[in-house]
Amino acid sequence: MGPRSGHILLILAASLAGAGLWAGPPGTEYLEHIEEVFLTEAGALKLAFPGADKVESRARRFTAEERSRIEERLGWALSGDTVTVHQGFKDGGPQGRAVVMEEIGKFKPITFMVKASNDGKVERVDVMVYRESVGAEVRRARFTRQFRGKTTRDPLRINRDILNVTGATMSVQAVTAGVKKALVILETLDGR
Amino acid sequence: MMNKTIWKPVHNVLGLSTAVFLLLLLVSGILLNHPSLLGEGGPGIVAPDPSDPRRILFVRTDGLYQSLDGGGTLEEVPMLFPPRETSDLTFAPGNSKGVYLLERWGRLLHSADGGKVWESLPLPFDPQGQGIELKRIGAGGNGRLALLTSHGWLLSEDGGKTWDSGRFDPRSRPLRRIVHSVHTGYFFGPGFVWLYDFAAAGLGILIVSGVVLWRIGKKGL
Repeated sequence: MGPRSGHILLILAASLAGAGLWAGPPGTEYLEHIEEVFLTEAGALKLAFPGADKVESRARRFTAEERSRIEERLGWALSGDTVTVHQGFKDGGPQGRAVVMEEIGKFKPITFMVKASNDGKVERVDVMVYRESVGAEVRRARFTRQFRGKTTRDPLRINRDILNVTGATMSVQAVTAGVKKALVILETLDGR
Repeated sequence: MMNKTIWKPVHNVLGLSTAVFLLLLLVSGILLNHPSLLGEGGPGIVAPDPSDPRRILFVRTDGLYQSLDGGGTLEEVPMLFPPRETSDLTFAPGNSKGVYLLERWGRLLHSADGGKVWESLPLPFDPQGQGIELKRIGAGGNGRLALLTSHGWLLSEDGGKTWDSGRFDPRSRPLRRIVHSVHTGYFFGPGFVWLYDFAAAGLGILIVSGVVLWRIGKKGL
């Protein structure tokens, strides 16, 4: 083994040791959370309803029947009783609806807005607040544009019709579930 | 005894056998570290309905399934958050409505209507963040639950709302788990699993190229 090979091995060993110390053993707690606000609600509504004359926001409390129907369609228990539905209008005509969703990623909730067209197709997904130290890739358009055109009839499942983001699986799952939940809620409130 | 003509074939046979053995270890190790490469990602877990012998719940890596004809046909049970790496699935005794599903590094899920609607039960620790493996869930009558983890076990008398963690120590570090995580590379972080794979692939190439060079040398090319 020549001196050059020895140096390469030494550098490799030092890198391994350094990376090992940096990564830490499994079970390392990530106590520090960051909160990044990318969009306020007003800003997200402007993106959802560009050029709207007005945006109406209405809080709806689920009836027992609606709640039961939503839970049965989702296969998941709802944590709240109400939802605020934002509806934009332009020249008197509706521009679709939007809801703000909050779903837990790895540890903390991700706040995002789901905008659907009048016929229930996703038009936009915008991450408003992200509170974790990893996984913020879900706010990028490359990820969120996958949801465009999706309806309740789509599986909305990771690795089926939604591509995962390596290292952000739980955030991807949270946003995907939130989009599905928003679509089912809107459709159920329409009585469909 | 020090005859080269005897020891050289022995050395060659042992060397080749060891090379084949190492290759087997390398390939199977890589596959075990990435179960998705094996296709199904694990055999799955079956839970028979205690009241209806025809009804079976079955969970695998891609979701929860139900059979109403004794396992002949399976239909997927819709779940907003499909289970990830399930370690246990069980009905409450004598109650086909109460179902519990345990994720190895995630959540304890409960359904009170036989598996149609699920909810996540609160745990007094974060399995993934604290590296605590959830192994088994046992359900008794009147909402009694026993949760076995890699760090001890917990009991609940109220269906998982509160837990008695007298025999649970989240700070303990089971030796077997440390050895396993060092072996797989997870001890240093998830990225190191790929580094291990890279090293294994490198070792495999070394073995193959060594055999090729030996053959070339033997033929005098």
